[in-house]
Amino acid sequence: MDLILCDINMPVMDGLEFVKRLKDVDNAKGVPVVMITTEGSESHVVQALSMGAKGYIRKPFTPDQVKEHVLPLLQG
Amino acid sequence: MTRVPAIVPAVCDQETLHFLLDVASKEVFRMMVGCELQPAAEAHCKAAEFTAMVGLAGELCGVLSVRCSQSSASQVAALMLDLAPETAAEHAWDALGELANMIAGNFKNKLNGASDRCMLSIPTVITGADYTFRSLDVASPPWNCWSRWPILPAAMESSLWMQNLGRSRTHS
Repeated sequence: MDLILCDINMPVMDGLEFVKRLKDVDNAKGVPVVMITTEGSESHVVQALSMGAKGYIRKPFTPDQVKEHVLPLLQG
Repeated sequence: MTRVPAIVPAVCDQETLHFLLDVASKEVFRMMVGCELQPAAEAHCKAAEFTAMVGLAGELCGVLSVRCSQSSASQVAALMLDLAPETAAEHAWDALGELANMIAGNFKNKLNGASDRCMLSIPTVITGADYTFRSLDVASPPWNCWSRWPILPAAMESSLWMQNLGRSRTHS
């Protein structure tokens, strides 16, 4: 697994909680997570990045926006 | 993406909300479906077989619905996911739900400050046209907004329906 694209509004567990818990999963805790969500507030962005997300894409998005966030993480 | 001035929900009137919803819908369709929405001549959607709904709660209360025919939902899925039409039908539920989610999110993000004070539900998708939608929130004035747009030349049409979007009664 190279990268995880994750929404915030999800059933069962929201994306922020997912990012937080992923750190405790041995074989996945190093996998970069990019949030891709309709939640557009700065507080959500700050919260996600402070929890460990490596990028934040607001929906709707263009393919170029996804590439801009994802490619450096895959190449790095 | 079209830039519109940030609007404070407390001073929004229905006309402004309608305008923002229109802009939000057009942006989502343009970016995610690759279609330019156009207003239709008639304001009804009796043939809708798929209904995707997203609830808004907090500063703004209401339900945003996207309704369309089964073939339209399949075409939306095909365009969004870059699938062949014959394989897109099984993804129509997810695609239409995601479309409603993005329109609702894009709409509330255009309201200054509402993004933090308005939560979206997980999308719900209904199939079938034989149902009645009724809000029990009688304290705030209902606002019914029916619009209908042809998406593609091939007789595909979609409808966006937002009902009972009223300001929350108290906010502190």
